Amino acid sequence: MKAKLKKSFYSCIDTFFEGTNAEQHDVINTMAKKENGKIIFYGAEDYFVADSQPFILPKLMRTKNIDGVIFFTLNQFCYSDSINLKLLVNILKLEISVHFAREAITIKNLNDLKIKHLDLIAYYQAAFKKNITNK
Amino acid sequence: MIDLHNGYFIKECEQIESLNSLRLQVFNLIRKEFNIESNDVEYALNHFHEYVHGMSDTDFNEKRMLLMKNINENINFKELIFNSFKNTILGLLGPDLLVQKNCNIVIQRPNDNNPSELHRDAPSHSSYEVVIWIPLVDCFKTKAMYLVNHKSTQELYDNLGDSQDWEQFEADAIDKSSMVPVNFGEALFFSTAVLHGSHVNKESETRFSLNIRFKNIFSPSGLKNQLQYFENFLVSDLVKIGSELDFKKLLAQNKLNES
Repeated sequence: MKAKLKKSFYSCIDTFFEGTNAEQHDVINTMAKKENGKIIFYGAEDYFVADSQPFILPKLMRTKNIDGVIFFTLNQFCYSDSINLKLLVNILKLEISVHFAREAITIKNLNDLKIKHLDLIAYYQAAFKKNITNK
Repeated sequence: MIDLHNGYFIKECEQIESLNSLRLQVFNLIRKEFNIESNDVEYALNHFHEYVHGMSDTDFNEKRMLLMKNINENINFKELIFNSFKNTILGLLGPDLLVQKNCNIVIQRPNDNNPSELHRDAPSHSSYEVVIWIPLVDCFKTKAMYLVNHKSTQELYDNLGDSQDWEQFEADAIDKSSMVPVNFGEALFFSTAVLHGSHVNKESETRFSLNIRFKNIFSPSGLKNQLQYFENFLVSDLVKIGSELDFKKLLAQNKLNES
């Protein structure tokens, strides 16, 4: 008998990703299943504010009965001038988990964030601080 | 200071017990997957092609993929490789390390028509990573790999320019390359920025080799997603303290306390 998927997740794809949306949804759905849940809501795709994602937090605050939000990639928090940990903290304050599907990272609360904080800042440092080659 | 000006060097193992253990564990999985009865590691690996003679390419590849999966799931290869070459890895990259999640195994039987083609790993891989190539048997002549040193690799790419004449590039690269014999008990360390590959193995023995990559956690990444491809391996106290302080600042900025 198939186990019932208990958790409900909000899905947020990366507007800047060069592949198709379907590819992103596949990876996000796989993560939702791994976390014993399924996607029930989908986030907006606004290209011009995708670097700061200002639409996510109000939307999550308005959306009841979700257990977590699954982003396609941590990159979605790295497109601005610095890694957007403020948004991450504000989502966690709503007592919902944050997941990054491509990197297979789950952050359930602030204690989890403390443990994974180094991975996140090192990733930003390594992948997005490109000044040495771009200038 | 470790001399990497050529873009590669060979290093003798610092702790042979770890390397012996790694080879034995890999060999036991090979024996199981390919039904090899011999328990003479050296002989059976070198004569592996005789045990699998007549096996179809499809069956062989399926077993090879299963072997790779079993190595990655059942052997603590990251620790064993690190312990085997600890001072060299720390000397090259420092104490804050990422390690490739999965180890690759390459099997080159005599006259296998699928050698590793000429290539370099960067910029797909970070040019700040180091590749460690570990033979499980003595590798010499065409059983070994060839490498083009750093200076010549640069010149070759400079000359490739607009012509994009790959055949000429390949011929020139092979001309400038050196065959690099490496024995079991040693490892070949090389930068992702140097060209390398292998010829068809014309010797009478099979080559088994492992390859894995280490990277400093903060060095610029390549095109591969660092968090997908690598995992944390070692973090220094200095970086732990720094990260802890940054985290406390983050909480303070968001008017939060640690619970």
